[in-house]
Amino acid sequence: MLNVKKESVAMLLAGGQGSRLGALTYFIAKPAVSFGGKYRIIDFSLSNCINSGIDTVGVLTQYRPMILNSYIGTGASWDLNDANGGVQMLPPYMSQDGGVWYKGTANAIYQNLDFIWNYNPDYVLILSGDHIYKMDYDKMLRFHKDCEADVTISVIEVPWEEACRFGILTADEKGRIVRFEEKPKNPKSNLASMGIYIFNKPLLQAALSEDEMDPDSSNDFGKDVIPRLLRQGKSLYAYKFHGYWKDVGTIESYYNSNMELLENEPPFNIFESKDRILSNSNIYPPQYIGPEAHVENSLICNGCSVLGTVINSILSPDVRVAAGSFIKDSLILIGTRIEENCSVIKTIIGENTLVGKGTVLGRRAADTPAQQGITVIADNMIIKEGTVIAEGENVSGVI
Amino acid sequence: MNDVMGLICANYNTDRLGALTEDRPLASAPFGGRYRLMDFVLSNLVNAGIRTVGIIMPYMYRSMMDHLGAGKDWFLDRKRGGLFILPGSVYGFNNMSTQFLVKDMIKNKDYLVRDEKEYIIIATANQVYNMDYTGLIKAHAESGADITLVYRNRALHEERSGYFLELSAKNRVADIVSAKTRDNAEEDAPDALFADCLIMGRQKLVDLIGWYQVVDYMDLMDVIGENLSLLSVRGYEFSGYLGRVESIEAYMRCSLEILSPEVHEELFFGDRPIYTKIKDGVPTRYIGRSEVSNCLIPNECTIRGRVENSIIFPSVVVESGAVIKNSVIMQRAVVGENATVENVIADKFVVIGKNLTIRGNTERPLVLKKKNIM
Repeated sequence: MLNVKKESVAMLLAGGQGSRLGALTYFIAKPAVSFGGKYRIIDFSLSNCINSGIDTVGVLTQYRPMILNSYIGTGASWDLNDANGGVQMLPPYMSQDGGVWYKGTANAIYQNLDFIWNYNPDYVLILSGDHIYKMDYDKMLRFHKDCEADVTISVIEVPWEEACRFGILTADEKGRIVRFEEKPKNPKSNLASMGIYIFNKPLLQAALSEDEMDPDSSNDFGKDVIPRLLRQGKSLYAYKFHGYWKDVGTIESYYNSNMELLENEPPFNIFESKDRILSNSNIYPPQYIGPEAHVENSLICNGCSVLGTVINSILSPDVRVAAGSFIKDSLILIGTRIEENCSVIKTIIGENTLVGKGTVLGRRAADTPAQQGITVIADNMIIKEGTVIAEGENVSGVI
Repeated sequence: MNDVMGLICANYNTDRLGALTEDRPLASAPFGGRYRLMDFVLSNLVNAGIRTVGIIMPYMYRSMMDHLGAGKDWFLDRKRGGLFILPGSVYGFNNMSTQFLVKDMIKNKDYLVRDEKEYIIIATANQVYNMDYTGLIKAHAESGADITLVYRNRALHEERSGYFLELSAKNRVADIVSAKTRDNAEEDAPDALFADCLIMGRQKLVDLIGWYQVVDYMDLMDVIGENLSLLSVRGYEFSGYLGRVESIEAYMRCSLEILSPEVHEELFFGDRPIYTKIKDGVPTRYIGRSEVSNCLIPNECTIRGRVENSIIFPSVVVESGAVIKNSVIMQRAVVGENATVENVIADKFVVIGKNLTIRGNTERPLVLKKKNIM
């Protein structure tokens, strides 16, 4: 490692389970969950880094990191395989005094301050690997410098009725934050924290050390570090982000954000050539659409083979749909096989799952007028021939 | 396969592919939706565990270098071994029909002597096949032959070109006959067609080409043919799919052949992937009631119209009402609203305007030159 000084480094928090994604995060961490066919959620933050000129990224992993490790690899897929900088995986580790898991977001960064010291940056960008968005972090950094802020927090306007689900900031007319409330019952503002922070490095070090000493702290940026800095009268600024930003934390929001890509003018446009999202694509052959196939309003990736019908659905790479099968309003993730004569409606099927002949996934309940619940099938499952699974079920383990 | 190295002879071109090879070498002609012809032989070598591969470059090799880079996508960007770009020695008309030019090997002798591998596989870059070279290597080593030539039985529709092997007992090669000199009356002769791929001892190759310093314009196959009495040469049959792209008609035929499920299953979906330069395209969008049947389509396309029995390349746009049949549409081509395209090979960046009808015929597909705007 050359350890040349960097102006800024990014710390990407990718250790979370995302437990509300149910069966989808049974085997993999939330940042590694597929999105939009060929992407994984972490692609968005990693691509934003390189598209914003940040070439040094530490990725903090903890929950089920296997797929994340192999997926990120050397970082070459995002041009982050630099001799000086690039991407580095930062799992919890042992030291002379034993070892601890990352206790919270702040503690995870605290345990890796030596990674930051290596590059002696002026600014540290703290990111979450859980979000779907395109953002130029450099603009935020310029704002941070212009305000001469200690800390800048990126915020987005959310509908007032949803404000109670977020960390809500109130800022004065110059953008200086005067109040921060975590999930307030009566929100005074509709500016929600996106979990993206820029810290001046000396302050970060001090704040994290102080947080570490506090026995009552849960070692979380949003819950502990930010409120403490506000109380201490530090200058914290809110940077307003305009654009698409989604925390696909629940099955519902995950499903809906994916499905939005099928719209004629998708609200989040991954297709435009500006600021392309990069991913670790591999060498799958072109997709094969068979003689009897019918494909309507769908996104399909390389390596797929479609012999049946696919309507209003997204097929990730290397998915096979056999003849006579009918897929509608569904997300089929990487490497899944659907055998003959299956019916799959409004269902998310995880990676590398085998769906046996004649299976019905997402069978509509008799008393509902339209398909309501989203059916979820976990990764690496084997669904035996002829299985019927009703709408809205969340299936993991062997059927 | 740590004791085998590869040599790809790509310094070969033909005018029989018309506009497709006007500005690019045959080896880098786009094929199969996301590949270039050289990908097949490169992948075959790499899939056999070979990590030392030299490529003798043809004239105008910009597109080849653009594709190959440092060989990263074939795992050939490495400390030991790797990808060796070897300059071709002569370019131009004289060289057109010689695939394994001895002079190219003599001029690049350093590549052949520096790494002391036991064996070398030599192959051309204009064939579409997925072959397990480990079987060939094993058979060659076990037979103790000096040279093993891969052959296949010529398909009936194929033209007689290249070299034919006359085989005697135990697959020994008794004679090598060039199609050019072969008597056409010999229709009943066995059609063991040399598959433009061979394995031999590396040192044997160095010795052999050493004898031919003064007549170095020869083809290695003619050299082997002249020395059959001194060498032990065997044949090794390849019975899988092999498409040799040597003309526009052959290009089209091979393109349509790989649409058959058996062929593309064998080529692409087995244990040995075909590697190519990775491009990070978005998923392909099938918008509205697009109608697609029996097609190979890669990422990054936008399909609103009807596509049948065709090969599409990345970033192709098919507008609504457009109909494409039995065609190959290369990268970034656009087929406008209500246009009809049939039996056409449209090269990169071709734009076919609204309501136009463009038809070739099944015997002679129409080639639209790169960047042609219609």
